[in-house]
Amino acid sequence: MSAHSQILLTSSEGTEFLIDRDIADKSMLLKCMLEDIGEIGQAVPLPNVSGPILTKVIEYCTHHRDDPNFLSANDDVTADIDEWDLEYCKVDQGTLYELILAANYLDIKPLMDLTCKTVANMIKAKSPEEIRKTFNITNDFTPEEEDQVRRENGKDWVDEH
Amino acid sequence: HDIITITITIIIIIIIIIIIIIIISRIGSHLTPPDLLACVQVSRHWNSVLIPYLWHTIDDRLYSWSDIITMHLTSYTQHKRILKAHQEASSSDSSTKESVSEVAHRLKHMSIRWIFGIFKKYGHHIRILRVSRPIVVRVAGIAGHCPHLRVLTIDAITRDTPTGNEEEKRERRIQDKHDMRVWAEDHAEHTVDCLWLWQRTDAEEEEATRWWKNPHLTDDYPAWLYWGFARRIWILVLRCSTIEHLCLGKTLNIHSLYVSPEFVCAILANLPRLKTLDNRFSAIDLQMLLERTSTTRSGNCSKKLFYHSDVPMVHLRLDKDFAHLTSLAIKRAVKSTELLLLLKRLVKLDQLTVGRIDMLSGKHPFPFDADDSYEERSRKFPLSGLHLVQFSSGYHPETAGAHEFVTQRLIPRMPFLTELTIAMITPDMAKALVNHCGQFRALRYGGREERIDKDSMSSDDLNIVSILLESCPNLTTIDAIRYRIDASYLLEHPWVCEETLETFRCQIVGMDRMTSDDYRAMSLEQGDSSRSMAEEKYRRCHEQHSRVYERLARLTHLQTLDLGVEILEWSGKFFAEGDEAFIEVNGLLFMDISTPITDSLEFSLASGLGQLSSLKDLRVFGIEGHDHRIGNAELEWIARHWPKLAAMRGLDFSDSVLLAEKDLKTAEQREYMETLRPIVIRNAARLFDEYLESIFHCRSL
Repeated sequence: MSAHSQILLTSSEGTEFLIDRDIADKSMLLKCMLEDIGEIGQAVPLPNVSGPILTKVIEYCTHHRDDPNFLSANDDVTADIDEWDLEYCKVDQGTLYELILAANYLDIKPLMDLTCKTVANMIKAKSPEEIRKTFNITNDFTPEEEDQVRRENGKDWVDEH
Repeated sequence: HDIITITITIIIIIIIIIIIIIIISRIGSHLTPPDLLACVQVSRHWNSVLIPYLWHTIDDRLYSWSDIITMHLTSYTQHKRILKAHQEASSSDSSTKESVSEVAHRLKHMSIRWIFGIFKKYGHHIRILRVSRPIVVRVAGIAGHCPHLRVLTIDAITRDTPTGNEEEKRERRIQDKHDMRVWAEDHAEHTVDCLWLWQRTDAEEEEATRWWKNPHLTDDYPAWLYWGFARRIWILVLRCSTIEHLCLGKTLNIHSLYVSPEFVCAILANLPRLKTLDNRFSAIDLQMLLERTSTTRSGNCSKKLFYHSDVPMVHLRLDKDFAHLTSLAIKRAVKSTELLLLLKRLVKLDQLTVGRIDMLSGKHPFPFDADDSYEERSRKFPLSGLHLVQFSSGYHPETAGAHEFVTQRLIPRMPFLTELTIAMITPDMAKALVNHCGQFRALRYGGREERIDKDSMSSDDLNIVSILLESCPNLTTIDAIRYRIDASYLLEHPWVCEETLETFRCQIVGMDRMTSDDYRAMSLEQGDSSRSMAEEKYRRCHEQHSRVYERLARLTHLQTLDLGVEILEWSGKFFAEGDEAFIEVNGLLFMDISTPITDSLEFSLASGLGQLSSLKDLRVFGIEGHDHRIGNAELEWIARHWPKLAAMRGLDFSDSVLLAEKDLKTAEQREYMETLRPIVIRNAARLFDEYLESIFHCRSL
């Protein structure tokens, strides 16, 4: 296998993407697949990832291609998000969720952590009602259940960050 | 066909649900309890996924735990104040017109019930428990069910002032007895080993009775109250048999009077998964501890024992070999003979941290031969990390000869040594590392308790670390900022670790530098001798800088390049009103704000900073205290060429009001950098704190 070999990926709409092998290896799914079956010379179909999202994912992996700490970069949950990553995540909510799903499907842990951390930042300091509104979630608690959850978990929690 | 379609649909739905659970869990792992509390109230689904995260860690010094428990414990007066405010706020509602004492009483019981309820219902989610409040210790030990607890820290114990009237105290005592009886019946098999749990001496009984009859007899706690609490602590430990990491903090030492070392060891023997013990409260005989913990069911599971004790009489002598201990940390000084014996007996010890090595017993120093006479000197020790965290850099009678001991007796017998933490490395020590430790990788500066004094800043320090850089091909870390390398020496001595070096914290001094007078001279008329001399100096400076930069540019794996001085402690000083302020740095070095270190590298683009563009992995850059001549253009270059830079040490020097007023230039640069790379400035202060933290705490954990 050549160090500079390239892999062809096909998005859900059939768009093809030619990327370097080392970039494909950032995805554990692709890495394991390529190691197991070798490069078969055909495009690897990714039916769960659309073209625009795959473009974003490739952009992320390309930016971090030489990062020696790629797999451990986001282990520290309290660490600040890198400036480039911060800019990268400035996308609409729909794109962000699709990125999370793509990162999960392709098994790219740092991207998964980054996107989840971004969503977590959207939750911080919000009330339950504000969270519901932000993510369009229906409150399926009965008033009694809601009261019980509040009581059991301490309704007077004070944020002392 | 329909059945297949339905089955596939169900499988897809299940997969989608699993993915959603994974994603919500991941998001939850980035949130703190106050935000998680909001999340569990969003919907049933979020509740079910995030409840385990909400109760994963309980630290009773954080969040509302602190408030709720404080409310329970605070004095009646404080209750009164809080509740009065509460009542005033709701005074419009006549139904809330309860008496303050009634509300306080009700709230106190609600808080206790709430804590009980939490442990009972969510105890199985708790993995990390840090307790400092007696009430939480009590509830967690008796009512709690923490079958999956992995980390237990009992520290910073607050004094739980006995509150309530006589009736309440009596109730509490009856409740205690009831709890104990129920628990003892459930755990009869453990009590055989732990008779101490249930027995109180006659003297204690007598004191308890006396105190009970007249609670105002003394202002101090009665012994039985201490004993009652100590008992609770050990019940808590004993009930959580899944503990892997146990920290018994220093504040427990007041309770150690009521437990014997045998008792503590008997409890620890009941923790089959124990891997780390951080003992700061009691002097436990090391041999007894190792004997009791080596026979647990964990079998070959490696154990780390953080053995921290400031008690000088703690017994470290071992009579036989122990193979289950891989890491040992003893904060206090250890005698050289004790150390050799420990290394001999702990046959798989990988990391050893000690305060310092004492060579004296009374007034008579141990001769080296006597230290070593009981064993063959050829025997090697398997240690890979030796950390001497309070090793003296100056002269102390107890440590005289300790450096020779490390150089001649320890290092030659440690062929696997890769890391050394020490305050003062001597040229002989560096050579010994080169000669005997083929895999040596990291030298770190240790020892923070002493000031850098004149004696220790002798010219002998110069170029010592260069011995390692020239001869250790696997070197990754030189974290020794107080050491210096002369620029001319550096240029004549190539380094063999250019491919591996990741951290370089060391001063490069002896640089030729242009002064403002030199620059002025360069603008004089052609033929002026001053101008010729200045031009010649400029060429010399430029060439030297270029060559040093060229050497640094080869360190392409470098993540930390810190050439600044280490500001351990400093303060501004005015000697007389109206005088210029001086800074006292590290207790001795007086540095005029306007005259920073001038024989260091100049980091201007004109001097060749651009040569360092090869350092693509650089995360930390330090120029503290230097006349660095970095301006906006240089900051822009740094922001552009070092994309991973996360912290810069040297622009935060003006954090004090005093310096902020004086050092406007640095303040401006910091502001500018904040617009370019805010994270760099934000992290700078944190980096310094973390560095201090890493020094103060032993590295083996």
